[in-house]
Amino acid sequence: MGSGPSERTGLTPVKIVVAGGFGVGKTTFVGAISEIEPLRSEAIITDASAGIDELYPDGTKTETTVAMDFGRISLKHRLVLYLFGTPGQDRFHFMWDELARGAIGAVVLVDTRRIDACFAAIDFFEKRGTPFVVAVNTFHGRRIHEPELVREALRIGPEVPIVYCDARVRVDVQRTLMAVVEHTLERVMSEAAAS
Amino acid sequence: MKIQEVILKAMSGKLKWWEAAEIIAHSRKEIAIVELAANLEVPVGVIRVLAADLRDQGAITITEPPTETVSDSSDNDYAELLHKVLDGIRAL
Repeated sequence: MGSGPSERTGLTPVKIVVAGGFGVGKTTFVGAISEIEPLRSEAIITDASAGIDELYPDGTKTETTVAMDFGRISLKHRLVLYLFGTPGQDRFHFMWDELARGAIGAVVLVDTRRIDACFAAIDFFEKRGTPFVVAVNTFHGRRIHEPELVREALRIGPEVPIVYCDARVRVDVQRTLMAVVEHTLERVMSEAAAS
Repeated sequence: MKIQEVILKAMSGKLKWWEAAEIIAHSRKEIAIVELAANLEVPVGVIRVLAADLRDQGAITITEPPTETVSDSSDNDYAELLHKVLDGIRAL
């Protein structure tokens, strides 16, 4: 399988994963900056892998669909940045590993009213070693918690950047994506210095 | 004809797969597998399998995100890529 720039067009694809609990604003986040309408890509999975589907206790339903958001942004230097919003429901976490593969890093979107909804995402990226930033979604510009309170509540180390971001506002989303790349860059540089 | 339409026709049997492959090979369009899947309303896994078949026939090339391979090979290359991405996002 090829890597690096495509032979045909010379475009280099890169990706950033957008995670967080169900309904935290991932679709809004992707839509705020994507040059295409956020696409909902569906993966059909069988009940065997999806777990129990209580809506169909008689077993008539053999498959279920899971949607993930997808956005695209053309950058200069012949780069294309793809944004992947992870499926929020707990039972689709098995898909995250594939989404995270090859990603520059991740955004964990946090709604401070439901802070526990993002624990699974944080846990996943920490274990996998994927660099991530926490983006507190500030609906209506309200800063609900101070960064250190958020850090404490999420039990994340001092190295994880926390940014505030209104997922509807393009420049906020832009800054958040820059924070991800900067964070990954810092880690690469410090690893290079250590070796 | 868009790649989506070509694949759709191939899937519905209106085009032979090798015909579809030929058309795609002559097109210079590039599209993400997941984008294609969303446009066609076909599961990503299906497109991935079809794309792999077309690649094996030499009709298309599949480009993986360079991040993992680059980060394995050289920190400098990876840092350079990240600088470009950062610059690109900043310039939006």
